[in-house]
Amino acid sequence: MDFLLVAVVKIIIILVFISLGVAYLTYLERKVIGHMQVRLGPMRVGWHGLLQPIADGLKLVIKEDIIPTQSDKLMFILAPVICFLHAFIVYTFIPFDGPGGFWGYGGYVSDVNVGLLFILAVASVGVVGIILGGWASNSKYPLLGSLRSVAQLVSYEVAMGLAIMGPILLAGSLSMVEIVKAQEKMGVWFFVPQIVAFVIYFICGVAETNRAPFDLPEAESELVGGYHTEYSGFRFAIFFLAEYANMITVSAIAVTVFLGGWMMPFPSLLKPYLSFVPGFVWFCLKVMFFLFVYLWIRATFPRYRFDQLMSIGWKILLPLSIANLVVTSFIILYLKM
Amino acid sequence: MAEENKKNSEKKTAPPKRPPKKEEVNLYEDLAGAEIFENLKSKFSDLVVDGKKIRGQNIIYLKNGENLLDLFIYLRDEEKFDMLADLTAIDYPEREKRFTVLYNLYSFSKLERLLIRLDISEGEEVETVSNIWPSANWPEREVFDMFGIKFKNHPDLRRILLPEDWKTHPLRKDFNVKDRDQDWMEKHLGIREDVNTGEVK
Amino acid sequence: MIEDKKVEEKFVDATEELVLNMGPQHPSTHGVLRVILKLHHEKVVDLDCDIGYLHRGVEKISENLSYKLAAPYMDRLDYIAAVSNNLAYVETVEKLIGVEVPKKAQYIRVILTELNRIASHLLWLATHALDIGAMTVFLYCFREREEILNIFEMVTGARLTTNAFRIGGIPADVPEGFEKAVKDFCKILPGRIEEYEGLLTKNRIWIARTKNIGVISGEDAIAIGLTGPSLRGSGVKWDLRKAHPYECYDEFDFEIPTGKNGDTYDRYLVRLEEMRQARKIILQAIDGIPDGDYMAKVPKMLRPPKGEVYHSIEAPKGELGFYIVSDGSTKPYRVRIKGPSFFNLQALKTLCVGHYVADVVAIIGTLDIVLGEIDR
Repeated sequence: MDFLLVAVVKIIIILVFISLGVAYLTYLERKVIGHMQVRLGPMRVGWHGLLQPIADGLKLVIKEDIIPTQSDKLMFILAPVICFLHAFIVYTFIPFDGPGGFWGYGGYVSDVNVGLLFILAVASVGVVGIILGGWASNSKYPLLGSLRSVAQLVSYEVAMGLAIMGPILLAGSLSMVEIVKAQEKMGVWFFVPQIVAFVIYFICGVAETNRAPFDLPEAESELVGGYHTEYSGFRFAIFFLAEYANMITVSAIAVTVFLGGWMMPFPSLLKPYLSFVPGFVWFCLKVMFFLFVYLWIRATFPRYRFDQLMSIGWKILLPLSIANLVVTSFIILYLKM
Repeated sequence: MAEENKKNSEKKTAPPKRPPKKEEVNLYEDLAGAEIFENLKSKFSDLVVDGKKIRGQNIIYLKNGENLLDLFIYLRDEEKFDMLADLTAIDYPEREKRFTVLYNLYSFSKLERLLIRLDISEGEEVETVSNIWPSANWPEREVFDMFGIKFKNHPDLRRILLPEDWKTHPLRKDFNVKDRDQDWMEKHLGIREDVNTGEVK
Repeated sequence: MIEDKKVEEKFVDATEELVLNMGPQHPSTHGVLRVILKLHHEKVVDLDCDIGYLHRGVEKISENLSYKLAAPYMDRLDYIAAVSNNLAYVETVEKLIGVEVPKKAQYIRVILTELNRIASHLLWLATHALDIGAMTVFLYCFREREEILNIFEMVTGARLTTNAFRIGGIPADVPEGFEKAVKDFCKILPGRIEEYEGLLTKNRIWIARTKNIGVISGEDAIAIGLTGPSLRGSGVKWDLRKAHPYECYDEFDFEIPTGKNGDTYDRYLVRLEEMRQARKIILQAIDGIPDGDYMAKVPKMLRPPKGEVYHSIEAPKGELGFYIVSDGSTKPYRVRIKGPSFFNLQALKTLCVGHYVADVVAIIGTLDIVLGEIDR
């Protein structure tokens, strides 16, 4: 009973935390990109536009709910829900803090021994929402957008999965908590021995979340809005939330697998002074660093063309990740012998 | 030029009660003797009517004929007028041959421009030059749209600026600037205007 | 067996070409252009442009106005390069009536027109980059364009449709501080262009998106009627400012940049270099503004002699020509506007077939069209 209560409380905390995080991620995006582009970003609502995400959310919620007459209504309604649901389920397995975190209750909802695999699996189901959304709209632009997105996600998922295999081999476990502990034991975060995998994962992560320069499914200059062109109001907001939640997910996985999760950087140097800082603060800082890099990339790069994107995925990233996996396994074998 | 300036200033300095009768200034000079004109005249004597020069610009006057395209091919290949810079038409309703089709040719090798005026009567079809200069495609469509001049053998002679089921040809002189195709407006927009006041009914 | 055949037939039907309607309301058709694309998968098989959504009948309207009153309408053709439009019309009428414009007016005309060329190219770069996904360049370019518009506001009182010139000269002497504003702008411009180049020129994605996209050879470009930077990108060194100098362009020293491959990337480089050359012209002109009149003597009511005249200038987008027929009355008998965008857009089909949808957007951008001028 106690266990259940703790879990429910944790779920609620994480849900609220992530929802707010997503809302303020949009604010961060507008501010960061704004300043990079010699403008100010939102300034009107609240101090320096701090209430802007709330105003935006309110606007989307009270908008008229439009379902196109020619659309497949059930699928049209279902699509954003699928996207949203799977984007949030993933957070069950992400360790925001160590087992001793959250005042001894454990910094995660659940630690499954196939955690990483499960996260990848669940995240992939979110694609179904995108396909359905594009298909159910019964319009050509969303259809093209969703088709692109299927092709993109499927091809990048392969390289991404293979890239993560490297650290898994090093850790010897699929559990997210175990992976972080293995990094603690090894004394060095996995992005050092697995730098190739880290880079591949990062590029694939950008593609997975449909961010620039891989934002083809929703390339606004060609496909107007991509798979959610026909969506408006609350349904659009759900798609939007899911997309940004995915961004946080991908960053969180990167932090857990490659950057030592909740651990503090340079422990030998900082531990005497900063030991009072809880683990999830470090975790959040690392995630925010990743998000910042995402935004930075968006402000800098143009967009790839679809066929170029596919050839990068299949011709460069996939062989590289396979090579990385093979080399890593041989090294581990050699060390064990 | 200086003369004209002087004339203008004279007019300004001594304002008469009634505007003075303007002297007819003839800007046109005869083109006889110019190389291109003589070449064309010797080769296509049945087509070339006249040649004029105005403000340094050669203009050749043609009439429609069977071998019109040969003349244009000759201009492109032998005289090196490799670009059709523009193609348009002018409407002279009082003339017997109502329309003038104007070809504006440019030669990159000679850095020279040549205007060609081809007079045709209403309903007469002109051979298209879009096979000789691909750039003539759209301008010919525009001339068809605005004047109703048909081009023979044009690959795609549709209206270009106005809607396809529009009836009138607005750049003809008998078309009032306030006119619109009322039937079209009623069909597509559901309104009808009063021609004089512009009131929507 | 029969069943199999049916399935096969169905399969053939299912893979027929997809007709995609792009525009007239589309973020990257630069106005109200409608392109009907026939796609095979994502490759363009055929396309058709539907224009005329912005048709206002400027040619007809100016037949019903006096020569002077028609001039402001010409600003509304290519509203991004309003000064150039105005210059082309005003010069054509001047050629018709035979007025020589005072040197001072000519210099100021050159300065404003070249500033306008930079402004137009900046807007082109901004939207072109945005179409390809580089959002930051868009805002950087607008920052500089703003400075130019401020100068326009200072001189003419308006920012976009400036009606900067009059037949015979310029309406008023330039205000105090004009020289300084122009020089200040010229000072910052090279650094800013380097900023854009830093973001784009050697960017792998930018090169992947623009190299070998929309390739056209010099001969083909001439045949289809391309002019301006789009033609020069194909290696044809032809600029009306050099070929048939108008105003006082023959007094200035500047280069005509040309490309080699005739692709989108070369056209991009040509336009960037043109901005630098325009700055060079401005700097030469601003130092050499002579004293004297800024307006020639022109009668209040123009009554040009019977005649016809064609005159064209090098507008930012290509050859902008006016053909005016006068019947000796106060109104032009026929005004024909030869807009560069109209002819440049004609090349869209040639450039696009065989490319992807995403490239169509890039090619529309590289042609630098303005619908106000196409539809007139």
